[in-house]
Amino acid sequence: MTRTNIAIRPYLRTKGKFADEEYEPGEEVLYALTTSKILVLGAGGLGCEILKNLASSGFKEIHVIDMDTIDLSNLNRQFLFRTQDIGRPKAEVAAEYVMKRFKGVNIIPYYGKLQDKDEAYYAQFQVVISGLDSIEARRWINNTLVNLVDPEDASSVKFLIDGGTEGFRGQTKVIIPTFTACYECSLDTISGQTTYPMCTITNNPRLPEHCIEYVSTIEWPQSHKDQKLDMDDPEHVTWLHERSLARAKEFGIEGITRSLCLGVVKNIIPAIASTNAIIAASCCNEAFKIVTSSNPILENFMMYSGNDSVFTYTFAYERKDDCPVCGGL
Amino acid sequence: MSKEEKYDRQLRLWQSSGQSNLEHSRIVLVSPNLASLELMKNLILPGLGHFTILDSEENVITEEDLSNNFYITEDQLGLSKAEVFASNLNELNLDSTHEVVKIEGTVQDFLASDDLSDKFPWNSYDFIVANWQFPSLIDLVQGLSNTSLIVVNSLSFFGTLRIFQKSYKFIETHSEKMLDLRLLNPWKELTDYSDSIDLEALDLQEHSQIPFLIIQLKAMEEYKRQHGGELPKAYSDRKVYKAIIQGWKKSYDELNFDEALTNSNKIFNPQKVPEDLQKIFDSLEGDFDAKDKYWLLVKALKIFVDSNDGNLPLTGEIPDMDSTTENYMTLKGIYKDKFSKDLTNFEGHLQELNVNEIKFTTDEIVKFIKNSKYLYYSKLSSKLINNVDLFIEDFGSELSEFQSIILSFIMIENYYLQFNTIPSLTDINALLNITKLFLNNKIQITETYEKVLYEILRVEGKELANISSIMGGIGAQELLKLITLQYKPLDDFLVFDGIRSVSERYKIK
Ligand SMILES: [Zn+2]
Repeated sequence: MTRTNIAIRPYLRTKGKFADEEYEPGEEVLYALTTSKILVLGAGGLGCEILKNLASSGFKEIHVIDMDTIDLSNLNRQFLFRTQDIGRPKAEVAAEYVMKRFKGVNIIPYYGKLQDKDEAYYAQFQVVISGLDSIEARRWINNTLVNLVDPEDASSVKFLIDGGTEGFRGQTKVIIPTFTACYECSLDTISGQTTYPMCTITNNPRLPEHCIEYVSTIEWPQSHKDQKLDMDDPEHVTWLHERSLARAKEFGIEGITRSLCLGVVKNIIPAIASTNAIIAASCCNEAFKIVTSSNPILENFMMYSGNDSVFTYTFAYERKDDCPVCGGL
Repeated sequence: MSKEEKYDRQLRLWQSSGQSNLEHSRIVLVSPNLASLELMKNLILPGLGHFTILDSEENVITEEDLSNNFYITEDQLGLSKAEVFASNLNELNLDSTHEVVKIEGTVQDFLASDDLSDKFPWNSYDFIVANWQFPSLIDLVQGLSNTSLIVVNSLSFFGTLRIFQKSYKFIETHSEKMLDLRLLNPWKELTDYSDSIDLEALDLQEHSQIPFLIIQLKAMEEYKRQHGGELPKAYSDRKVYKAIIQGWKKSYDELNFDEALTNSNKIFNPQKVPEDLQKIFDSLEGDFDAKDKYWLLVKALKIFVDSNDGNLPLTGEIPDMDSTTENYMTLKGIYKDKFSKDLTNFEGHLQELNVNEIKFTTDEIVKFIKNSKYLYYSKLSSKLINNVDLFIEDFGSELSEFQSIILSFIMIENYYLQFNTIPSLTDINALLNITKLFLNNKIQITETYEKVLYEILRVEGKELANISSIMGGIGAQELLKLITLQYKPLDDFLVFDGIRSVSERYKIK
């Protein structure tokens, strides 16, 4: 036997009082939910949650793309993976797990880059949910989906739902290419990596981070020639840690730890299951409303912060006329 | 397998002290729903110590569960919910342990029994997680010294969360710090160091490597010299002060002078006891307990402040600033020395107060001092909102959207606890009548209320996986804060609307 839609049916069989006037509930809506193709970008912390939620809320045709393999430090939140899966492609393991758990759901994984796929591939989806951790990858998919828009063809407009988290904070963005602000429009709200001035790193270090930056960017290339620093290689990390300690000692600086070395060089962002759960579910909630039209969708950004009590801020982010991607379209 | 590596991404948030608390924490989950299962998942993954699922032996996996619950497989249809959920959740992280307690009869009957406190070892748990506000459970928790109750619910596109805990006593709030640099009232060692530097005598290279704090301090002395010992107060005074710094700049590219200028307004931020901390001091009168570490530390802090001209102990921290390593380290050393002196004084006050000789580690005291400006304390209510006056007290007398969601949940909860079934659309008139009785003509039912109630009733008690996952995520974040005693938790009621993706918080009086 396969899983039924008993718990989802009531949501689509009747019409709520907040639904759009033209909305007609019924079997067709359920059919739309089970047949609509949805693409998930990233099978990491957000991706695992997104796949679970889509399967649990009635979606049946899901694709997932991820270029990474499973690492030990993923297991505190990427709950579709176990110790024995370490080293295997995330997209494949995640798809296997969810399909085994949820019979009747079809998930097609792709282990590789977003850029490997062409426009025809992306054109088959109605909704794309992004749980990516890189700004560049997000910009790429945003650009691709904006380019797909054909003003003569409504089905060429693909909804992009973008989720992101950091520690106890996160945000959900619903992007309707050429209709609402795109990812690029909101780029100036995103803060990049901390950088330190060169003369501080080389001549006047004051913080442990300055010492680590010096060792990783200047000492390593000097002593290792062409070999690249690989922070996933414990021996490399040990070398970096010891050299950073030595440099810090020379300048009387305290606070170098192995964990800090990893954090600075890999630009590690703290991540926990609960924040991923909130943001992934918020993204999937929007996808469910988009595909079923059962209720109005988010307009268009939602910020979540759990550092100080619980705080959500929902607002309409305006399109930018001079946006290099969607401006003028 | 290294725990540091496995838990690396979360240790960066709550460090090993928070992790240790989590690994020693015990939770009992009463009669799971989708939201509370999601909540538990988010605690088991980061390494919760132990969880117990308490449920009726009659509750078995149904086809309905199969349609929206990820934590079961279809061949588990008909098996005990408590057992299936417990083992499937534990499979997520074997660092946790679990136990299953199955009771005869319904959960409602069990929780309504007179000898509830004897029927289960409640006090061996730190938290009880449930999905309805069982009055007996709320009563029970009031009588337990170290057990709190979290109620999480999700129906239709809406959710609520409430925390029942006697009080919050937090030290590590991770607030964005406004460092106390004491530039308006420097101590002798800092002034001496500043005086030992003669800006005019320095060559350009040296001049551009003086830490901006020293520049600001010197400019403050100069201002006072020009103005009969007065500090700059009005906005126009500050402009004069800034002009002094600007005038000393020898070259356009002296970064340290730019930093002195851009950071000059911060000097005037009030550095003494902030309002929230003052409230905690005021609470000493009624709440001080000489056997409680938190209160001993707070009282010692109050004594310190009173005997130090209103200043809090210095934390010894300074921001990074353009300067040579040597200049920076010298300055940092002066701040650190002052911190050490303040620490010694503080420890003296603490020792005098600590008549019961409770053991404090130096780490504990240092942590307290470094966070003392941003302590967090709150007392929570255990009030059950069971009449309209109590409702108005907390949520006002207007039934707009959030109030409508809250009232709908209260009405449905009452209905459920009475009839053991969640009402559906066919019961809408019954629900409206119950609401009218509850509101007792003090609040009028609004169209918004009817719409919200309709939206909830039409889903026949079925949880939406996404909304339950959001509520479980929020609930888990709050529990993590309560367990690690870090950041600031919800105080104490939250309502979430997944149609508009908005939320509102309330403090129950
Ligand atoms: Zn744009």
